[in-house]
Amino acid sequence: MLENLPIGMYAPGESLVHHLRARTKLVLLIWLALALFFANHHYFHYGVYALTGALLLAAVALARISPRYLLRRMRLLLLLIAIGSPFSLIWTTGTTWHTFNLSTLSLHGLTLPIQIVVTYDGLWFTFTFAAILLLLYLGTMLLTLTTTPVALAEGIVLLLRPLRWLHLPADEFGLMTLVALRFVPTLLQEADQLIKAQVSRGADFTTGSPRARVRGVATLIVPLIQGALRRAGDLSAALEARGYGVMGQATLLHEGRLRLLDWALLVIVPALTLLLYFKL
Amino acid sequence: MSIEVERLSYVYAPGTPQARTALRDVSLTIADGVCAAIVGVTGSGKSTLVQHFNGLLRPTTGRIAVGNVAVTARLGGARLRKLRQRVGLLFQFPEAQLFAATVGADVAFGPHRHGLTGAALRERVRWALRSVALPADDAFLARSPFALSGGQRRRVALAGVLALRPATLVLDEPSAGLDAEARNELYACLTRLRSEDGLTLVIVSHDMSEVATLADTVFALADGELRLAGTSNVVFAQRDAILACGLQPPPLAETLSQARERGLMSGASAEEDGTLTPETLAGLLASALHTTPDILPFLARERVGG
Repeated sequence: MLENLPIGMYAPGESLVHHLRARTKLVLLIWLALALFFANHHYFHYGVYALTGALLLAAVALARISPRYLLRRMRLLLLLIAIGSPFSLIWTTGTTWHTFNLSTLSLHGLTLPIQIVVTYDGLWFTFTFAAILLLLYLGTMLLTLTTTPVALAEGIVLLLRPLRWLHLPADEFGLMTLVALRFVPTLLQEADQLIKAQVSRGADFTTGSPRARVRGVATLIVPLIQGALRRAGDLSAALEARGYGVMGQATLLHEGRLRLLDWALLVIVPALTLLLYFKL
Repeated sequence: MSIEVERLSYVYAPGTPQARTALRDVSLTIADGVCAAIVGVTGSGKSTLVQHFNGLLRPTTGRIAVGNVAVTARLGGARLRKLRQRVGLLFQFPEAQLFAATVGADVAFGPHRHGLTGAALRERVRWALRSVALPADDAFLARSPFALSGGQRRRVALAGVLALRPATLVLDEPSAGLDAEARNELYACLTRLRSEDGLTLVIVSHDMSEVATLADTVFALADGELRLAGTSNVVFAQRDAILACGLQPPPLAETLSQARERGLMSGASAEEDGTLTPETLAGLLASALHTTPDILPFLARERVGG
């Protein structure tokens, strides 16, 4: 029943996008996010948006992810944008682009026009916010679809390494992230099985009186917490037994070096965005 | 209640990159009152199959009828509740599903949800506990399930399902992780339920000696397809087909087929010319049984293919 939950979804593949290092993809995504937000201040300059869109679409095509699947995952966001856009179009103040006269209202001999004023600012912000939301959502979806959760966590750990110099617990954080990620699928599976077991016994989580539903949820929470505590205990005992501790600077077992493609993208993409931002 | 499955296929997460076909074109019939075993290695689709029996999963294609209820995507409401009551499902490691503060409250959860209250409910709980050979006195009812032994907790979970008074009981790996004694208690309990209450049993397992002990009909799955079906003696006689499914034939069937292979049991002649001495057969038995010595008490009840 939880199999449709979009957590830890990874679509295995052998494409160039899959083979990029996780940290390359992370850095590029963060860079593009920043670039998109800064480009927002540059009225009616579409360069950065076009570049980001083109890059992400190229990545979708290369990774062979079905556009229909992506669209389905983006349905809710598209709906939110569709609902929100008219309001930001109407209610953003600034230089008038066009005034729509709808009708007039007569009150006590006074004639009041009913009109909608659309400003240049309204147009630009509506477009950029829709574009930023869609592009970033697509980007993060692509990241998790083409990167295993473990590779992603290792990427984060590697990116946080410089924080060691500030005596921040980068390695502890890394271990915590990896351990937590490791247990997400296990807990989900356990929750799924528990839901099925309790539903088989007549539990009900979606219908019935509030009392019955609260009781239904309790039949899940108690065993889940119990299982999680037991597992955490087992894990800490296993780590203790192996003498595991965060001492000194941990290294990764398979620390993949950045390859030519990673370096190329890390140089070309920022260069292009800067060029588009300042020159066009 | 008989269970009829016709050309059933099931796909997990259809339409996503994670889509996975778990069952392909499976057809089988489980008659009323039998003990059927569904065997296969991990990932062969056996758990997926049995989750259709009480409507937890619905067929992607194909049909399945449990008694007179057709399990389709539309099945819901009172008919679904009735189906869930008629077909009890005990999952793997069911002791993990106990949640209530006392044994009594946990066993009472199911029947209470199906509308039983008061004295009838208390009587049902006691009956369920007695059926699984646990004490049904007030002191035991008031105990915390977390304070019981592993085998006892599993039987409390079984009692929680039995308290619904199902006509069919589906058990997913019922003996996994139990010690020999707890396992034998569980087997005795299941055998009694079948003979006394006429329960139809469906056992999901990859432990062939367990299957040989309990089941009279066997269905073997591999890669989501039904590979073998029939009475247990017929299925276990097909040694190569069982091995092809990634399974190990039960010890006694294995011993006999090895004996046959070595010419020890080539019909009556072997016994006449003295090649099959009690000593050689005993030696073969011992070596085969060495892997699962706990099967010995049930050896007498096991039927063997010929």
